[in-house]
Amino acid sequence: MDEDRIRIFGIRHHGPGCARSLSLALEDWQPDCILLEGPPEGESVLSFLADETMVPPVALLVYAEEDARFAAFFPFTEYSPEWRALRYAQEKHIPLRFMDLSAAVDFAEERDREKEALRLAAVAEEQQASGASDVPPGEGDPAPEEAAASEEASAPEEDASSDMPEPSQEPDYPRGSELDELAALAGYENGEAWWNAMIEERLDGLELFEVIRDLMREMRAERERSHAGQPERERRREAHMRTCLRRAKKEGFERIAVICGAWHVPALEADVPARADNACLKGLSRMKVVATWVPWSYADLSMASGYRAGVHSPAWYEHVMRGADMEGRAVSWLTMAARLFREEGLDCSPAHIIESARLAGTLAALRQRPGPGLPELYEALQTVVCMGEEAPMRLIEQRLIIGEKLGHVPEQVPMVPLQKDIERCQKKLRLKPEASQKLLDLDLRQEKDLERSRMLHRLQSLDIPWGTDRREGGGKGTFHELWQLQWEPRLIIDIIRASHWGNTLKKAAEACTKDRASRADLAELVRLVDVALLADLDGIIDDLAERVRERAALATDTLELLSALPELVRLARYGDVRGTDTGMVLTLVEGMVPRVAVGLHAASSGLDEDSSRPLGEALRAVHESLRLMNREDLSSQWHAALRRLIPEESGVHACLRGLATRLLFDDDILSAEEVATQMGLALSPASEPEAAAAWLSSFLGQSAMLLMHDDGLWGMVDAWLAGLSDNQFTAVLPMLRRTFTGFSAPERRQLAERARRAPRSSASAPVGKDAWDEARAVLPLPLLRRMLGLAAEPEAGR
Amino acid sequence: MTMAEEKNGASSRVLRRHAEQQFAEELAELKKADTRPRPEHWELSPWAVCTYLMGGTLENGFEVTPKYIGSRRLMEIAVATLATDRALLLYGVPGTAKSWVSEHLAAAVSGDSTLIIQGTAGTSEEQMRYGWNYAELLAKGPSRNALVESPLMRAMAEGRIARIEELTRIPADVQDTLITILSEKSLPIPELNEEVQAVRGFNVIATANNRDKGVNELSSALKRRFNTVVLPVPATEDEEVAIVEKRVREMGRSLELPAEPPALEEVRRVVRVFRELRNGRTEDGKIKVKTPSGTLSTAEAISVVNSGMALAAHFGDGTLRAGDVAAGLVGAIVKDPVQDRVIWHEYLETVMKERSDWKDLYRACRNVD
Repeated sequence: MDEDRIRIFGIRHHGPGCARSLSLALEDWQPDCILLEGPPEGESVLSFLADETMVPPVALLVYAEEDARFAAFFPFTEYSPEWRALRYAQEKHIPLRFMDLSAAVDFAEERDREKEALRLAAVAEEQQASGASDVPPGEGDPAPEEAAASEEASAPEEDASSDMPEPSQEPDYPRGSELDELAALAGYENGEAWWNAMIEERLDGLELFEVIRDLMREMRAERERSHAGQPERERRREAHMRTCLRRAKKEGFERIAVICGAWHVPALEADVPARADNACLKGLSRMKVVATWVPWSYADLSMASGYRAGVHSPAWYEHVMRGADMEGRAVSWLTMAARLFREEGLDCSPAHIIESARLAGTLAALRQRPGPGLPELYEALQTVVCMGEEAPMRLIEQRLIIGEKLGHVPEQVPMVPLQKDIERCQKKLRLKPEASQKLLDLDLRQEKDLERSRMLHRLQSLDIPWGTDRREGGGKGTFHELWQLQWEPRLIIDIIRASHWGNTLKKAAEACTKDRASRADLAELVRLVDVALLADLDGIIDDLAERVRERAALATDTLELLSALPELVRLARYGDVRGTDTGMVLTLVEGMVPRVAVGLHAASSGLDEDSSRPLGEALRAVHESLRLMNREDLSSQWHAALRRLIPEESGVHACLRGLATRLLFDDDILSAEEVATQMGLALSPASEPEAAAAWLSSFLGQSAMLLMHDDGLWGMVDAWLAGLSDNQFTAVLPMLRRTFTGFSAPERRQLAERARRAPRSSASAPVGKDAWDEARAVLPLPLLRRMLGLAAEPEAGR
Repeated sequence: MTMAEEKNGASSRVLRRHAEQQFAEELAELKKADTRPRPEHWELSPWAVCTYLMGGTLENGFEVTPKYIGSRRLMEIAVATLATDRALLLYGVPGTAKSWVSEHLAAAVSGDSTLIIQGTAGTSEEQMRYGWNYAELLAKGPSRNALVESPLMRAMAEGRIARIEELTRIPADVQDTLITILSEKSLPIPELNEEVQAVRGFNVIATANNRDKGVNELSSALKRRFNTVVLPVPATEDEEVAIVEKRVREMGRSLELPAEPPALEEVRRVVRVFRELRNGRTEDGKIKVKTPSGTLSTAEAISVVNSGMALAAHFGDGTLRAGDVAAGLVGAIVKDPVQDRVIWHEYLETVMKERSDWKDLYRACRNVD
C-alpha cells in the first residue's frame, strides 16, 4: 500500500471527536478524491448537498423500486464524520465516491430469502394438509420451521425500518466484548464509556487515526484468533471497498482519502490480490433501486430505537461538537438542563447548577477523568437537583441526551408524488411534522380543523401512523377530536409503500379503502364506511354504501346485521357535524331495520343460553341506538319484532324473552299488567327453574331499581321465590346469585332490607301517582331552574 | 476523656466496635498506600475512601474488604459530595445500609465515626448546637467552660464529619438549625458573643428513611443544602446473599458465637423468602405472592440468620439448620398478627410447600406456629 497516495481514516459513524479530527485531517492532507463508506446509489443525489435548506440530521434512503419494503437508511448528523467529508468534497469540488457494496445486492438477497421462506412455508402447509396424520409429531412437525420461516420473511421489513443504515454495521465501530475488556483494564464501566472519554470527548487532532488503526488491528487479530473469521457479507463488502480503491488509483488520483468504519481499516490496508476480490464479488444479483434524501431525527439515531450503529446520546454529541473546552461544555449543558427543569415547573436555581458543576467536577477527579463527561453530569444533576430520584431525569434523557431534533431536506429532492401531496397538505394545514409528541385538539366546527382531521384520517386509512386518534370510544364529544401526533422519519417508508395506491392523499386513501372493502365482511364494511366519512372520501362512499346494501341483502346471519346496525345509526346521527352527506347512511339504516325485524325471530329461536347471550348484547345495542334515532316508523317495526319473541311458544330462549319484555316495558310498549302476566307465566311453577331464573336475570338486567320501586313486580318475584320447593330453589340459586351479584352492593343491601320487611309492607298502599306530594315537589324547582340557567319563572307547580 | 480511653482501651470487650476500630488495619494500610491528593483534614484521598468502601487490592497486595455491596457509582457520588461543601443525605427504605455507609464514610474520611446525633421526635436544639453545664453557669456565669458542645459543634471545630441519623424524625424547627450551619458554616453563640467557624474538612452526613416520608418533611431550604443519594434495595439475589453472609460472618465473630458460619444454602433460602415477599413475586417470576406490612429489609434478613446462629450455638449442634432459622423468620415477617399471618401462611402453602428441597424449612415454619 503506497502511503503517499492513500490515507485511510477509520471513524465511528456518529462520533463528534472523529468528526472534528477528520475535518482537521482533511484540511491538512488536501485530498483530490474521497472514498466514503456508503451505498454507490447515493451518488446520484449528492448534488442536493449544495442546497442550504438541507439541515441534518438527514438520511440517505435507498429503496427497491418494485417494492419499497426493501429499504435502507444511512443517517448523517452534523457530527457524523461522513457528513464532514461530504461537505468538504462539495466545498472543494473534488470527486467523492461511495465505495460500499450496493444496497441493491442486499435487497436482492433479502428478496430471495423471503421467497425461499414463503416456499418453505407453503410446502410445510401442504405437508400438514396432506399428511398430518402420518407425520409423527416429533420429527416431521413443520411448525417450528414454518414459524422460523415466517419470522424471517418479516425480518426485512423490520430491517428496513430499524437497523438498516448499513445492515451489518455492527463491527464498524468495535463494540463487542474486546472493547469492553479493554475498557475494564482502563478502569471504565464499559467500552462505550471508554470510547467516549478517549476518542469522542477529547479535543486532540491528527494522531487519533493512527491510534484507532492500531487498536483495530489488534482487535481484528484478536477476533480472528478466537472466532472463525468474518461473515460472508462482511468479506464481500470489504472486497468491494478494495476494488473501488484500486479503481481510484488506476484513474490517477494522487491523494486519496478513504473514510470508513474503524473496523474496516485493517482490511482495506491488507494486500489482497484483485483477482480474489473479483471472485468474491462475482455473480451477485441486484434489484433496481432508487435513492433520495429524507429528514431524520435524533430519536431514530439513538441506540434505543434499535439502530445498531446508533449512538447512545445524539443530543449530547451535538453539544460536544459545539462546545469549546470541557469545563465550558459542562456548564453550558447544565444550564440547559436547568432551563428545562424550570420550564417543567421543577425547582432549579443557579445555585443548584453551581453545585452540580462542582459535584460533577469532583466526581470526574475522583474517577480520574480529565473533565466531567456525560455520566458525571447526569449523576450530579440527579443528586443535587432531583433529590436522587430517577423520574425527573427522564426529561433530561429525552430532551438533552437523546434530543428531539428533526432534520430538513430541500424541496427539490426526488419524492414520490404521494409524499409531495402529503407535504403540500401539511404546509397548507400548518401541521408541521415534529419529532416530539404533541397533542392536537381539533374543533370540527372550524373549517381548518375539519380539514386537518380529514387529512389525519386519510393517513390512518393508509396505515401511515403519524397521528393516533385519542377519541374516547365512539359517540361522546363529537365536536372535538383529540390526536396525538409524532412524526418519525421512517413514516417515509410507509408513505412510499402506500404510494402505489395513488398520487394524491385522497386518491390513495380512496383506492386503498376500496380495495379493503372488496374483501371485508359486513362489520368491517361498516367500519370502512365510518373511515370514509371521517376522511371525507366522497368518491367511494356510494360504492361502499352499495356494497353494504349488497352484503346486508345477502347476509344470512342476522347477528351480523344486528352488530353492524348500531355503528351505522351512530354515523347517521353524528355524521352531520363534519358536514358530510349522511343521507346515504340513513338510507342504509332504513333498509336494514326491516330486514333485521323480519329475521329476528328466526335468528333467535332454537338457541341455547350461551349462543343467546351475544344476541342479547346486540339486541340491547340496537334497541338503544334506534331509540336515539327516534324514528317512529323504524321503532314500530323493531317493537313488533321484539314482541314476537316474548311468548313462550316462540321457541326463543328464556333469557332473550326476558330481555325483550324488559326492553318493551322500558319503552312503554308493554303495560305493567302485560309485564306482570308475562312474568307470572315465566316464573310459574310449571316452568323449568333454570329457564325461569334465566328469564328473570335478563329481565332485571343491570339495575335493581325496577325491582325495588315497583311493588307489583316485587310481589310477583317474592311470591315466585317463596313458592319454590327446596329442590327447585337449590336449582335456581346459582342463577339468582348471578343476577343479584350484577347489582351494586348498596342496591343489594336495599333489596335485602326490603325483603326483610316485605311481609308487612306488601299490604301497604303501593307507591303510585296518588302519592305525589305537590307541595314538596315544588321545593327544588327554583334550584333546578338556576342550575339549568332558565331565567324566567313559569307558572309554579304543575 | 472517657471516650478516648474507651477507644484506646480494651475495645475487644465492647459489644460492637466502631468502624474505625474494627477496620483500623485496613485504614492504616490504605493511608500508607494512598499517594493521591487529600482534601484538608481528610485522613484519606477520595479515591482511597471509595476503595475502602467498595473493597479492592492495594498495590502492595493488601486486600481491602468491601463494606458496601452494590453500585460503585453511588459511593463515588457520596464521596465526591463530601469533598464539595454540600452535605450528604442518604435516603432509602429501612435496612438499605444507610447508617452503615454513613458510619464507614465518617470513619474513612475523618477517622472518627462517633460524632453522631440520633434524630428523634424529642431531639432539641441544644442537642444540635450546644447546651449548658448549669452548675458551672450559675457559679461563674456564661463562659466557654460552661458550654456543652454538641457533636456537630465539635465536628465543626475539628474539621470532621458529623453524622445525623434519621433526619426526618427531628422536628422541623430543630431541623432548621442546620440551615445556618450548612450554608454559613458557622455556629453563633450569642450568649458569649462568639461563634464557632467550621474548619475545612467539616461536613454532615444525614440519613433519612423513605417510609417515614411526611413525618417531618425537609423544608426546601434545607433540601437545597443536601445532595441526596438514594440507596436501593439489593438488585439481585446473589448480591443480597453476599451482603447477608458477610455481615453474619462479621457479627458472629464479634459476638463470639461458637457456631459454624452458616451454610450458604441456608442464607440463600432466607434471602429468597425475604426477596419474594418484598417483591410480591417468586424469584422465577411465575407466582404472585402478597406483600406483608413490614419492610423485610436486608438488615432484618441478617438478624434472622444471626439469631438462628445463636440458637444453633447454644441450643443446637452448632450448625445452622432450618429449625433455628424458622422462629426468627416468622417473627421478622409476621409484624401484624392478623393480616401478615394470613399472607405468611399463604406463602408457606403455595410457594414453600411446593419446593421439594425446602421440606425441612416448611415443616420447621409450621411447627413454630
